[in-house]
Amino acid sequence: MLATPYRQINGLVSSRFNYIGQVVIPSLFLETNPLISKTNLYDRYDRYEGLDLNYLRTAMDSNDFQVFLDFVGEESMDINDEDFEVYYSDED
Amino acid sequence: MPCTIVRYRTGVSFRNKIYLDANFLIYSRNRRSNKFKPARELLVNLLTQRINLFITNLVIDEVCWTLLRQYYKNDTGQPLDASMVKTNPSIVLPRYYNRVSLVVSQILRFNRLVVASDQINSRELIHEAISLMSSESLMPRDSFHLAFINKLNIDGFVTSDNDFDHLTLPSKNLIVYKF
Repeated sequence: MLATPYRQINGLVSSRFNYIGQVVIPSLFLETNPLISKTNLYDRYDRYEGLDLNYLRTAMDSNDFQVFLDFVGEESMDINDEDFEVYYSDED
Repeated sequence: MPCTIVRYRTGVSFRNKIYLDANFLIYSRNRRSNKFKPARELLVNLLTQRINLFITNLVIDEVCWTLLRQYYKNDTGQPLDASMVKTNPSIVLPRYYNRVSLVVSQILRFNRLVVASDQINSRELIHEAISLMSSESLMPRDSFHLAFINKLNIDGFVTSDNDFDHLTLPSKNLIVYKF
């Protein structure tokens, strides 16, 4: 398989990609990043993909940064705008 | 000045006081939702710009109810309505209470988060909401959200709800950030 060298994605994920762009090997960086080590490996990419966590750690208040890591993408439900139309259609 | 609708894009500068709608909080938690990434990016920008964030009891109420319905739907494949919970609370409350409680606790941990309902005279708020219900053609609940915004001079509102697209608010300079 042809593969490019490791690609850095904004400080969060460096992965090796093959020539058609598929992720081949999640990097050691993704697996061991201490900022997100509490998060299940398989969830990390979805939750934090594209974020520069090293930058955000300094740009946010430290408490907010930790809450942010715990909060964003923690759940995986398919929700749409119509799911918020809850208060008048079904109440007595 | 009338209300302004701003479609959120990276780099938008927020005003100092922003009211958060329940849908924004729910979307930013759910990585499979269709608006997860815009909501997440918006939250990043609010936190890095150190904006003062406002919610009310109404927002928490809506977060709780939406989560209960979604948890139930995910587990059973069936929609949940209020009459089902009233008839048989055990179908949701024992199962999902801890999860909902955790979400609310996390929301309340943000540094600059203010629970606006603590800061306002309730009688004045009611008068404002009833007035807005008529002048802005809003449903009662939405008129209360807007009343909090008005009475606390909050100058921005983050939501994906289209019900606020047609506000006029002639005496306010409110920006609605849509995502």
